[in-house]
Amino acid sequence: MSSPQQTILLIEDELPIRRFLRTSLIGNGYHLVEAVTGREGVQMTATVQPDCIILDLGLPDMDGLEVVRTLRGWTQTPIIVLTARGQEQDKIALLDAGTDDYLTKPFGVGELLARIRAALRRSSQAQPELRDLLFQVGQLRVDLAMRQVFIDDDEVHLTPIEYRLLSTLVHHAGKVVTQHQLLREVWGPEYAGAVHYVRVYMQHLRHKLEADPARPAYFITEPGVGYRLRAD
Amino acid sequence: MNYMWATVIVIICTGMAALLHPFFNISDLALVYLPGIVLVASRFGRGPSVLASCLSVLALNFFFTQPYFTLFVENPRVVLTLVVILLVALVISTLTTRTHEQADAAQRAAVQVETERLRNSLLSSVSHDLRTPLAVVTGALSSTLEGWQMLDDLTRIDLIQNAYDESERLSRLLTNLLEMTRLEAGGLTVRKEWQPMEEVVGAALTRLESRLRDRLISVDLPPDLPLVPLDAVLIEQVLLNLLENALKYTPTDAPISISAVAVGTPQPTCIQVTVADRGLGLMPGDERSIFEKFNRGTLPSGGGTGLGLTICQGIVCVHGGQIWAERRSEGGAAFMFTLPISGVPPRVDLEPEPRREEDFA
Repeated sequence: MSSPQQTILLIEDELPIRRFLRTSLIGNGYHLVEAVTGREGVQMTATVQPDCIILDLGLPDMDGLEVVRTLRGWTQTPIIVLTARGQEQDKIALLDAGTDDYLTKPFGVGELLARIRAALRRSSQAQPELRDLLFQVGQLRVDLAMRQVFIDDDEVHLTPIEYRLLSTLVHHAGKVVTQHQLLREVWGPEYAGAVHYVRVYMQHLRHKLEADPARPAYFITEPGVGYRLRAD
Repeated sequence: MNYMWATVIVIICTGMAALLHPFFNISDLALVYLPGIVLVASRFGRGPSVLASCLSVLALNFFFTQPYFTLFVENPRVVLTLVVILLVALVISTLTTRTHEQADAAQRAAVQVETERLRNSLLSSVSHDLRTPLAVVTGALSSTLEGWQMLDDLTRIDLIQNAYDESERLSRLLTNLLEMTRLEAGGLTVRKEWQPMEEVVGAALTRLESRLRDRLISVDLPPDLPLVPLDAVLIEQVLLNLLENALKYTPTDAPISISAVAVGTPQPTCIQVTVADRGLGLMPGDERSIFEKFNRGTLPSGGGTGLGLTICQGIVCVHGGQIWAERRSEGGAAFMFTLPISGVPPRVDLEPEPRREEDFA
């Protein structure tokens, strides 16, 4: 569990969803404040200064993308968006606008808590001296200081690009990273448009690091959007 | 445009009439034009057919009545012939156009009736399929709430788990319904990108993780399988539907296999993906009909909408591929689909510029 009484702002107009999230989040030790409209949410972000924002996209007064853009004008507080299925292009637009992550309705509380933990972890990493230099999930261990990768105790040798791709995913562990973001961060702007590189190298990583590459345990594909390195 | 075609057809008729002119008189030559007028009336409608009728009579008059190459007619009987021909041509064109319009209207009415029938069967099917899981959710949760004191922990967990499973089923049903509506409305946008099949298979298996946990799944994807242009979200849906069918219609100890091969030499022209199971298989004759809307095959139903395979077919179709089912000789069913590899695969230069960092390999 993360440190006690971190504040989460929930911007959601549907009462049943607020009710269910209230029980789950308070039950898991978070302090919860609620807003019913986009405008109210933006105001409360300024007054309450939450550690994390959960934003529903179907608000009556403001478009979700507009809320994200407004907030990103002056705050870096992590934003997790609740969306409906089948809107992959919208999800990419939201992520490009600065959303940290999304959850597709219907979702389980376990998923939501994992997203919140990942978001809070990253925002506390904003100061580089706090950054964890050792990443571990399951049997996969990445030593960012020594640039070494292990499965259990066996070191796995990666090519430079494979390592850069892996370390980028580790840096965003638990959070979805779009294909274009990976392309930009790992290959650089001159490779824009060559998205298949990301896919081919993700396949390499899976073949080197997954026990069964066709049933990945660490490198999860979010079809149409990007990838997520499982963090817990 | 239609008027131009009318003119062209009259010119062709005139050419034919010119060839026959030495052997026939004026009223016989008129017969050459009538099929042309019928053709114009049936294909291009009323206006062009009236034009064709008038042009035909003018052409007859100009080329084939004495004195030739004038619109002047000496013989009053020929004038009468021309007027009669004009009337016949106009009547024929009117009749043909009207028949054609009536046929169109009849077809539209038939389509409307069919749409209405489909909508009704969709509504009854949907309300039944949604109500069943909903009834379980309501029932299980109300027994938990009302009987809380009397129930032991295990029973409570069992009831809640039951409600949870059914609500997930409800969500899958809705997804399929939505997908079907989008397919039918033609509102499905396909975003094809070159991808490895392994990734799509992996995404589908990840999504079904909790339900596949106790099942024996074998995946056979050759390492040299080429990249395929596909819409990952849609093809994942195809795999999900096929895998869910396999889960639904087979006993828990029956293995399920997913495999893919590249087809075509020297360059692969498509890949063929197979999802096969060792369940009850298909009844003879079901291989085709199960792809039809609301058809669940003749074996006992697994409680779906009967839309899953129809959606698969729609999605594979918009990719330019084919989907079919086979009964396996050793028992079980196999579903196959192809995805064409059209266009030039993108080049992948492996490890092009590792100058900034030392190589770990």
